[in-house]
Amino acid sequence: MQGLQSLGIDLASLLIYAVNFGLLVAITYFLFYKKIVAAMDERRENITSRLEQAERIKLEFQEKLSEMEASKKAKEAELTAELDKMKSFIADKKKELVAEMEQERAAMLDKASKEIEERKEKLVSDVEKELLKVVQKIVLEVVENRVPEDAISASVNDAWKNYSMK
Amino acid sequence: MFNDYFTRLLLEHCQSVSDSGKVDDATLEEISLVAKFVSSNDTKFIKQSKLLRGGIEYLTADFAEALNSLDREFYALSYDERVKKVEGIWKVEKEVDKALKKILVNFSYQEIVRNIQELLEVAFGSPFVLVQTPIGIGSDQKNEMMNKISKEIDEPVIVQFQVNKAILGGMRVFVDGQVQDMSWMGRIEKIANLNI
Repeated sequence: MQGLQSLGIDLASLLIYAVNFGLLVAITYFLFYKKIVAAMDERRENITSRLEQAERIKLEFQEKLSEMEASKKAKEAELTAELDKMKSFIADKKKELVAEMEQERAAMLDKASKEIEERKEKLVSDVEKELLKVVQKIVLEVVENRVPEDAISASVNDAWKNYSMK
Repeated sequence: MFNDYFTRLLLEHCQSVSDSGKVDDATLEEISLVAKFVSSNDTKFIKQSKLLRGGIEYLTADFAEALNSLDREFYALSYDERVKKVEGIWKVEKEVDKALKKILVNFSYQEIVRNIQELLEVAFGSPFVLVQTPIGIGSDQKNEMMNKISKEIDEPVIVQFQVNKAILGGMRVFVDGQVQDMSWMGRIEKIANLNI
């Protein structure tokens, strides 16, 4: 004890200090410890909750992203299919139009050819008719004025022979 | 036109019956029918009377031959000249012939032929026959044509001969409106109407 005193340490003071410290600890514990722990827990839960929310958002975003990519791919496929369909439709239409035009062209050519043929025939027929008229005129002129009576008389006899032989 | 002819036919028939002294019901009926025809001119009696039909047939025989022997110029002659000409070509002996001679000198060719054709149509259903030639033809040829056509039709007919210069050559035969065209004009028209 004298050693402690020689070092300047008073046991009573030490005890008082200890009690004082004990009191301080007790008061602090009763007054602040629970609140501090609750605040710390709350903060930890808050942080955990935020982290979870951030994780969930991240997952949701990734999900949305993959959905969007899938949708984009589907749209792209759909567009490609539509494009192909459109190309095929255009090709078909083109073929149809070409065939129709070809048909119309053939019909027009045929009609024109027929018209040309008809006009040609009419022209030939008109010329032949005119020619026949001229021939008829010449024959009539010859027969009316230059055939002797004997020949006419013989023609009557021939006609009668033909009639009798029927 | 032929009333005088049928009257004389009736009288001659009565005379021949009287001469023979044979009178039966059929003969009396015949005489009655001819008398009715002469008085009424009703053609229904022609079908019933053999004597009338025989008289009409006679028109297509001797009388038609005399008619055919007359050329176109005959109808331009004076009455006396015509009488002379008829006497020259036709020996008239009977009373009926005298009646027909009168007809020949008093009527035109067309009138005579038309009247005979009407009688033939009623009596036998004979068709109207017309032959057109570009020049006049001889009586022999006319008679030959008439006989041939009559045989062909199988009915007594009288043919009307007509000169038609427009046919140029050959001939045309019309039988009841049906034409057999063997004329030159017909041939020329056929050629002209060809659809070449």
